[in-house]
Amino acid sequence: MTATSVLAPKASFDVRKLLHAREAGVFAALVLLFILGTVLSPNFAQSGNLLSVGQQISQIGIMAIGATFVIINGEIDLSVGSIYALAAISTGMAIAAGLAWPVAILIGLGVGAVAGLLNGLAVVLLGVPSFIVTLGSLSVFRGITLLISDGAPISLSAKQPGVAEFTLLGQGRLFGVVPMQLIIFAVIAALGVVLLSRSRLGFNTYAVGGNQEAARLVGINVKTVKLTAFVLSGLTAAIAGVLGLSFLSYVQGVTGTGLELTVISAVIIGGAALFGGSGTMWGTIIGVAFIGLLQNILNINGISSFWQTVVTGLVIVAAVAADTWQRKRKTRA
Amino acid sequence: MAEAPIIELTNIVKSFGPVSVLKGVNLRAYPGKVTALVGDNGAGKSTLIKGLAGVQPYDSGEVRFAGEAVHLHSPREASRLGIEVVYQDLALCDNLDIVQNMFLGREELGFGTFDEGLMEREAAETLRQLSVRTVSSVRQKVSSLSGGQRQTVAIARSVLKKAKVVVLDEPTAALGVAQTEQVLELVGRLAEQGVAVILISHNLADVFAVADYISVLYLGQMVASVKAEDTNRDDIVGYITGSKTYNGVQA
Ligand SMILES: Nc1ncnc2c1ncn2[C@@H]1O[C@H](COP(=O)(O)OP(=O)(O)OP(=O)(O)O)[C@@H](O)[C@H]1O
Ligand SMILES: [Mg+2]
Repeated sequence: MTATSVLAPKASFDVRKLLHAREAGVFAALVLLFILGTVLSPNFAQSGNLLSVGQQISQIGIMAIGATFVIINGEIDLSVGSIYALAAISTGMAIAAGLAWPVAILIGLGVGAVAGLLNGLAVVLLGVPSFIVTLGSLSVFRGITLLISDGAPISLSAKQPGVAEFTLLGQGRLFGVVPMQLIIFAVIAALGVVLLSRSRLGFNTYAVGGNQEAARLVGINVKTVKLTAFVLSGLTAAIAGVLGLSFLSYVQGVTGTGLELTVISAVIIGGAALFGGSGTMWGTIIGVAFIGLLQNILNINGISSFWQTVVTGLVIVAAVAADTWQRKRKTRA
Repeated sequence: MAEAPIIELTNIVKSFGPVSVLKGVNLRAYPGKVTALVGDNGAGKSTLIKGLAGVQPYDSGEVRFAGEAVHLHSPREASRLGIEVVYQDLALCDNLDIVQNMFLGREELGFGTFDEGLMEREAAETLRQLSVRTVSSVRQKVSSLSGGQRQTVAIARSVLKKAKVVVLDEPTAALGVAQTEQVLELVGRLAEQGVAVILISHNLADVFAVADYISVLYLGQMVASVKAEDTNRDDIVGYITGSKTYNGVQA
């Protein structure tokens, strides 16, 4: 440690950030997966297929954007699958009751944000670990969903006024080509990137995830940072739920069960550490794309969905193992 | 006393439940001077300065800053006045780099986006002013730094925004000889720049090397406040252990 030139700022800073080792690794894996897909099936690399992958990952992707904030905070939100269903049922019931669809959407999103806020309040005010809080609320929100819908599915009738417009969100394609859902995901992802890497909230999120006590001592409002993350997580889950309803015109109380695991997997594959303080939005986006392509490749090659579950699980463990190995190597160097 | 104190604590009281930790403590610190705060483990030194930092407000007592009574209820308020604290355990985020740590919690981050380039230049400039030459890049993660380098970053953080009062809680406790030397030099340089430094230390050699005033806390009470040149090591040890009582004029 004798360098004196040091303090000369490096202009290449942003470029280096982009090539952040962990993301570069996942990105390389994504490229390899793409090549593998192309080799295995001639149908894979067609724009039609890729756009439908884009459609399929959109809801998971939107939820993963919110989940990234929670995970970088060093917290976890297991209730997003239930919030997804709660928001979808709320919106569906509002539309079925004859409310204008934009109002119905706002109700669904509001329900999701409030659900996230309740999670956050329980974590920061009661001091209960988020794993426990959201394990509980996973069950509570699911139960409420079943209660208010009385266990019955909701089907939106295309004959009802406004339903056609509403279903465009999930089923429509811009210029008849690009799925609306994918566009909505892209917009939310862009907002997520800016919020996490360019705003004070994002900066403070990394600080809280890295050393909560240090963050408190320098005057960062740790509670606000965490609350915001849980609200974002609830809100993005609700957006995905509303899109799910719009896509299928149908929702029932058990819809979205287990979604939280796919969402968390995508964030973890994308390089965020479960103990907080590290990860990026770009990493999450790559992680989401990775899961989508992987499932698609298994699908078009006719591999059973049971195997897909096995492979996804193995990939998560492999991703984290690779990361751990890389970290160890780095600290030894 | 040539100059008026910039910090004047009077009759500070603080308890945690039934445990009374500070029992009416007075303390002064002067611009351009190093005031050492010594006392045995558990005497209440860290508690005294956490109140000054606004993280753990006092139960009662008066805080005067540059002659005016102030209330410190949050780190932001203290920071706005120019009071900065380097904590015993440093309070750095290992997952962030030097620049990011130096700007942690700073208001100029604003609500919108912020200027990374400007932050980097300011951080580098601050380190340069402190004649810090031991870090190779301001974009290094703090986790990769040595104990002395981490201490340096924490001190640089505290002076980034032209602090008027810098409190250092045992800055040399975990350091080797050479790094201790560097940190003490840094303390001296801060005082030369007109900063009022409050230095907490268990190492009396360090204290006598840099301090202008020495205040001794014993079981939650300030038992002595003296000019360093008017006292000696043995007396201070006596005050710290309670085997000697100070009966001169409180400096
Ligand atoms: N948050 C707290 N709750 C309860 N007791 C506390 C708290 N903080 C400090 N104390 C008690 O107050 C007393 C003084 O602690 P403090 O940390 O101020 O001592 P110190 O002089 O800094 O000691 P050291 O030299 O070991 O750092 C100790 O007995 C400690 O146990
Ligand atoms: Mg202490």
